[in-house]
Amino acid sequence: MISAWMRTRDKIDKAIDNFFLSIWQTLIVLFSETGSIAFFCAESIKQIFTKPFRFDEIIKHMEFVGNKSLLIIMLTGAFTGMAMSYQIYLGFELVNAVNLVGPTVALGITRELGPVLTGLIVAARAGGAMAARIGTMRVSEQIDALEVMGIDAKQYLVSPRILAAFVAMPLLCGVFDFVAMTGAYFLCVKVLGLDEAIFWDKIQLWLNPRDINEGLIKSAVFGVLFSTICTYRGYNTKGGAKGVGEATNTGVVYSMVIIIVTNFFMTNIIRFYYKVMGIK
Amino acid sequence: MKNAVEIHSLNKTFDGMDYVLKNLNLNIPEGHITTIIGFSGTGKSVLLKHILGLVQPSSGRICVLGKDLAAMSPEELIDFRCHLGVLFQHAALFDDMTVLENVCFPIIEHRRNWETDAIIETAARKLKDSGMEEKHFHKLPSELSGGQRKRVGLARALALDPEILLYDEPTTGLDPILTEMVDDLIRTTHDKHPGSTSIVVTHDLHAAFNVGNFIVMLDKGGVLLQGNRDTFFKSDIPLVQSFLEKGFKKE
Repeated sequence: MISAWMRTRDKIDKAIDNFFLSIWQTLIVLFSETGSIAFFCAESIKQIFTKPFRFDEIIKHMEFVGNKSLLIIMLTGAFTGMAMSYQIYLGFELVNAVNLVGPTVALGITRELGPVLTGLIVAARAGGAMAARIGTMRVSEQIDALEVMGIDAKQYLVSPRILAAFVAMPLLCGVFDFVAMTGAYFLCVKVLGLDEAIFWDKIQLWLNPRDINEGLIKSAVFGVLFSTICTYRGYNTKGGAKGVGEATNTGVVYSMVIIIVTNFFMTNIIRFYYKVMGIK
Repeated sequence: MKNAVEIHSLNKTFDGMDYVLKNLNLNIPEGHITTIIGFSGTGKSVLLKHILGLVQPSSGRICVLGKDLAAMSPEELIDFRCHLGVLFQHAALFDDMTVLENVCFPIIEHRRNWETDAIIETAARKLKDSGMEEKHFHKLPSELSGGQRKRVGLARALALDPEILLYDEPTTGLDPILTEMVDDLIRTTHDKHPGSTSIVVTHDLHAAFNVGNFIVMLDKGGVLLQGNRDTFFKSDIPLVQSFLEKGFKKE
């Protein structure tokens, strides 16, 4: 009886030990991965300013990240603007505040939804492609070929992609904001019959250029984050096709999670900055 | 005889326990074709990556063309690699570039003051020297056969006139006719570049003994035997005899 109880207690002790051990191991992996990615990012950013400058590559990747994401960003923006304005309209109608639908949508879009959704969509589309492309180059020895040719593979493959995402993301976010507001205008004014003058007047009254800037800054940061994570994943791909698949998958998933988490902290940091600077 | 590559007491472990290369000492003579043979998993490709500076040794010293790789900064190492050309196992051509662009690429990167015409002319000459016909110049690597890819890979490896040319399992996965073609290509390329050093890593015994004038056999991460054909055929080391017997019987 006692020995059975001792065995059960040993099993429970072991399970608890394993549980804490796995948490500890996860934390170690998380910290070491974060450190490696931060180092990778710093090195790649430094190499943007190292000769030879790769303008052709930067333009090519800007076209890929920016231009080719334009349609999907516009489509998502239009429907997000319409859906959001409709929900807010329904809520504000209950308290007789439909005049404030325009500025509420505008603030929500420019400060939060614009940068976050742009980040998520572009991370899934362009980030996934970056991880897959660089991962394939790694497993097919193309990166080794670059290095033995005396070409810095990071400077050639990673730095232009990070810079391209950094530049293209605010532009895409701007487009998202504009299209989403156009969608909101269409729904509120043309469909729901809100007064056009009030709609724009209230937006002008409540929306500040720094709200738009806040979103654009966030989106530039998200661009650096997803491009770094995805290129890091691709660059460190191991194995064959399975490895490329895993690199793409983890690259996109980590990017999306990081974008959402970073957005929360950036919102707080920016609010704190405004508070310290006395900006209302 | 001068050595192109000198390796002293090289050890390599990836996990801190199992040694892929163990106390390896090797001198590769300049101006010859050296073939490195051995069973799978004896560290041939890892040794090649060490010579290229793609992998750092756990301990030991590697001197290539008289320069200690460990003493070089990453930037110096990148520049130094221009002296080396590599034909990878699967050619490793850039799949978004045409055949001609693949060969132009290293020239554009390292001969920045060259006119475009001169770059294209040099690349075309390298391709023709490697046996590529002009009609294939604007094709993508995916449109080429295995043998043609090897030719383009070789032309790209030769683009900067390297002093050492390395071949990583050049005949793996090729049929006997293509294998013969690649062997001829290695020999003719070496003859066309007098003074250059060629290092061929292979498990294809026929190629190793036909192409190489200096042969090195690896086993358990170290050098088991080195010398010319006769050294190997006269050797009484059981593992060498077994390797030769099995290898030639298979072919």
